[in-house]
Amino acid sequence: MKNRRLGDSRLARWLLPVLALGAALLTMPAGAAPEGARWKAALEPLYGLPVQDFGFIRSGWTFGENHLRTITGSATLEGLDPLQATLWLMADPHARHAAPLIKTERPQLAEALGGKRVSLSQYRAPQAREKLMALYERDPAQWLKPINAVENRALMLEELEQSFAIVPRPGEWLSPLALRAGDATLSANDLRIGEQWQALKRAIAGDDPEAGGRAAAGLAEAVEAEAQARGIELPPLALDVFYHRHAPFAKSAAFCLLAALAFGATLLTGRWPRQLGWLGVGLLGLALGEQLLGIGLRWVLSGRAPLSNMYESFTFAVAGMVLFAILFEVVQRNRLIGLGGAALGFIFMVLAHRLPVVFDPQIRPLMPALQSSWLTYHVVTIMLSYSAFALSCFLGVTYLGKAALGGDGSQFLLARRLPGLATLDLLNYKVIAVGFPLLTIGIITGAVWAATAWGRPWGFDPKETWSAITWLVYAIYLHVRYLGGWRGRRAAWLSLVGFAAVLFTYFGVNYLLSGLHSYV
Amino acid sequence: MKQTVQAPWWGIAPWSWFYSLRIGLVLLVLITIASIAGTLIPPITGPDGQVQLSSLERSQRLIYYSPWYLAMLWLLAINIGAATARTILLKVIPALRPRVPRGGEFFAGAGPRAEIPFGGDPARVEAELRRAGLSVWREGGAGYATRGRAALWGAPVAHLGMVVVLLAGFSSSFVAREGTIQLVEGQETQWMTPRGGDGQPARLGFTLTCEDFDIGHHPRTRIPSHFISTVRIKEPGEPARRERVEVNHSPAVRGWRLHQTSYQELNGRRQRLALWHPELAPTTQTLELSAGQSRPLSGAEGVEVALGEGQPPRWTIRAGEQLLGEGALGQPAMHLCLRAERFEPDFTIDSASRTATSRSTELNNPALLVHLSSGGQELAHQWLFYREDLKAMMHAADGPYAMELVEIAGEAGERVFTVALTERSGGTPVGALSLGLGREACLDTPAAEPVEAAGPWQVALVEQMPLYMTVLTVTRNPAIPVVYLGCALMMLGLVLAFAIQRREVWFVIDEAAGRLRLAAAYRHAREDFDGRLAGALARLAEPAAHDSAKRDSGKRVSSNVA
Repeated sequence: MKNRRLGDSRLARWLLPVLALGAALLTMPAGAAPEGARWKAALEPLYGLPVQDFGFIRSGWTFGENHLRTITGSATLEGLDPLQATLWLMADPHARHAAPLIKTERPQLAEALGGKRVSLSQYRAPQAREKLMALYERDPAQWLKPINAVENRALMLEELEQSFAIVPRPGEWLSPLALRAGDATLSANDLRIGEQWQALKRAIAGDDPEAGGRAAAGLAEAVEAEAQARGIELPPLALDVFYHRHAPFAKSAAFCLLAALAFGATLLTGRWPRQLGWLGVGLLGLALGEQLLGIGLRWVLSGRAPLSNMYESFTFAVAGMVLFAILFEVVQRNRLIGLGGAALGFIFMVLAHRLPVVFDPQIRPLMPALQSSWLTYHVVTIMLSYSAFALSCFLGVTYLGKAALGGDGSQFLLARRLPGLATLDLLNYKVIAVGFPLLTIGIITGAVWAATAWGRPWGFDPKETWSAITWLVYAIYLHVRYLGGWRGRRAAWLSLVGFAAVLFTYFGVNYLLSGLHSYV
Repeated sequence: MKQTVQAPWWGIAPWSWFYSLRIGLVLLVLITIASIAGTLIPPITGPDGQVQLSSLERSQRLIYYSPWYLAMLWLLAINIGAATARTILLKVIPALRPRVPRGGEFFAGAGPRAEIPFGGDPARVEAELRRAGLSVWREGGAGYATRGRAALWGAPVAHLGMVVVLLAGFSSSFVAREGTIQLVEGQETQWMTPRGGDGQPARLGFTLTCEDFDIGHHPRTRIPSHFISTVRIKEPGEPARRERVEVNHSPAVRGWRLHQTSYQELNGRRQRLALWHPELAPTTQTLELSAGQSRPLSGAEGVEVALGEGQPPRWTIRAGEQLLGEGALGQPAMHLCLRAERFEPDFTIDSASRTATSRSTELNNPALLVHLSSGGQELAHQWLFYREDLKAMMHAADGPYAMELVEIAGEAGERVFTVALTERSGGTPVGALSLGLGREACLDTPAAEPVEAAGPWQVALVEQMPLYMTVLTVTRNPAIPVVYLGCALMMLGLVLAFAIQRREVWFVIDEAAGRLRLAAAYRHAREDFDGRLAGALARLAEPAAHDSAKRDSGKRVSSNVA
């Protein structure tokens, strides 16, 4: 009884303030340090400046974020946004060499180099190199990759200005550094780009926002004029800037968190099931909307379905999971599956943005093998099946948790609030019954694609084999449940084994085994 | 109390092994375990660290194409096939002609049940069930109703699809053929090297010529945007045709499919030549040739153009044995740019990852990674070694320019490297470039005049291009359409099984007691009646004011009665 009162009163009392706080966080504009704010207006024309970066024409903001995130591991630097930070580093060579910017990632590397982030000077110092070499010689297999990663970051920082390709050309654009005085082939716009770029660097180095603003406006005008003169069509870069400023995936995660709180509160307290249930569904709907907005924007910006790397497929899987959670919640109305979709959606989106080594958010161009419409059919169906299996795993864990707490007649409030064991078992089966056909279609579309590209529908590539293993586990689940009468605990364990196979197929194969799918 | 004793699985009749679910599950589990083991087999590496047999090839030999693994798949196919046939015979076909209950036997195993007071006409029950979307069979006061019987076909069709896929997979090992073709640009062949054979070439049945290989990169990346082979295909008795072979676009020739697998950049350059002759070839023709190749000149029968191996490249034009003209190609002016990409003070190759690294920070074995380009086109990308004893051994011998790292000045972090460039063909020094790490330096080379022989033929070098060898895979597998058929059946079966909701309803009217007993079974184990049946029950529980249903369904009911 004591537990019940605790659950009923406290949660209900602070639920609404938490929801209100979450909503306030969602609508609050991102704050900028005074230094950044002073320059923000001056540099406004450059946020949407076309820059050629990693095979695409992207905005100045994206260029800054891609480089700053790779070098430092963060999208901001001392209160400066990515564009401001990269412009500052390009304008001030001393800062580029002296500021502690290069992410070292591992504690031993940080210890060897003198910090979690080190400056170029520190990194290039002979003592640091000696310590790195000592680490490498101790265990080359372990240290080669991390040391190379730090080296690449250092090179990226050194060559930041050479990478700033803002001079439009058919094919590869040029950095302003490549514009050589006296070159008769340069156009008037080229010369203006060079002049304005130098003026901007001087203004930034002299901390003169007014002059910087004039140079930034002139630079943006000259770049666009040159692109127009050369007949180069620019993508809708305003959308690129909107993508960064709006941050749809972060908002989606926030909505998922709020939805999880709403579903969790009604499940735990048993109060306002209708109101909080619909509120949760509404918040999940908003999360799905934001997720689809993010996917749509990436589609427009890359000119292809955004399904070509771990980050893109993972965000799509989260969208699918939220969609399934909404559909099941609307049909079943038991609040638990809504809670599962929302909680997992929040956790997955946080992981997607906290593990940049696994989930690289940069938009990369497609290699030839992936340039096929089969990519869309194959990845969409496979990832939707993974979405369903993630929900199934949540239901399996809930089943086992409730069973461990005493089942339907448990003395624990939490266990009593959860749906009955039979309902959990049936829900788990239904979710798998959605995922299994999708996985089958995904494997079939993959086989057809492989036959088209390589002449063989099946080659026992590790990814293929593990997807077949996953399929076999869920096929065993369905058969033993339907024909062998497996219900309850055994079926729940089998659904967990199935999801473990999903995780290994999705992550394990990419990092532990090599094969034809190692580029995704 | 009657007790039934279930026989252990080994005690069941031998013929039932064919369709036994337990044996099917045991096979599925064994196949799963074997498949997992196959992905964990490590590659075989030689003492030099080179992979001699990849993990995929080893797992294919040891597991996936082994007799015992294939035998398990065969047994699984037999098991699934027998179980499917049994399901169709014992469950699906009987369900097409349902029996009306004559007692309580059909209620066993049903899900939701109801019993309500009912004193009306049995035809009213039938009408209400029809209204709920069910087909009804009635005999007097008892009846059976069902909906979504197509779902019954779902599992058999899906399993049949699986059997078809497995059988098509087995037959592939007998009927499928696969081989590779390696063609340098301009080269032609009628042969392929079969995969997994004794290395003896096999005849294709047509002539394949690689006219061009094109590779492009996404701007400012090293990621390829495309690689495409343009091939000329000449089938016997057919005019020659040109086809584009690229990843995801594989043209068909006489039952074969040509797939773009990979490519290799070769030593040497490919020359695009412009040729004209006032009488034989009055309009300018362009031809692409690499050193040592010859090609016929279109529009001038029997005339061939050949390019020699030496430097500068010499061209000859012959009609049979008769020499019509010869000369040497000139070299165009070049704007050469050199970029210093990476420096290792004590160069070594890590044996595990096969990548370059340094043993120490001392200048024991300095090596500089450079990128030489002209007009955005890569000419060389290689390590330059400073130690004299390594230069001859390690430096690449291809490309138009030889490079040498002649000086390393300054301290770590501020080093300046000097690289000397020499024209490889004639050994003429081109110049030296000094640059820091991550920097680029450029120089211009003068044009070399061509040497022309006497005669009416005019030949000029238009462009020099890298020389590639394309690697194509040729496949022929008549079983692939059967695989697709199996896949289509599986998908159809899954749609029928999971998307169609099958429900069954049995009812019996106990006239003496004035009650209607009704039970339902759902494909996916519902606990309650669904909305439609619940509505029908509610209406039946109400006293019948006017029995319109009786009028509606009288004829149909009689026709459905067994």
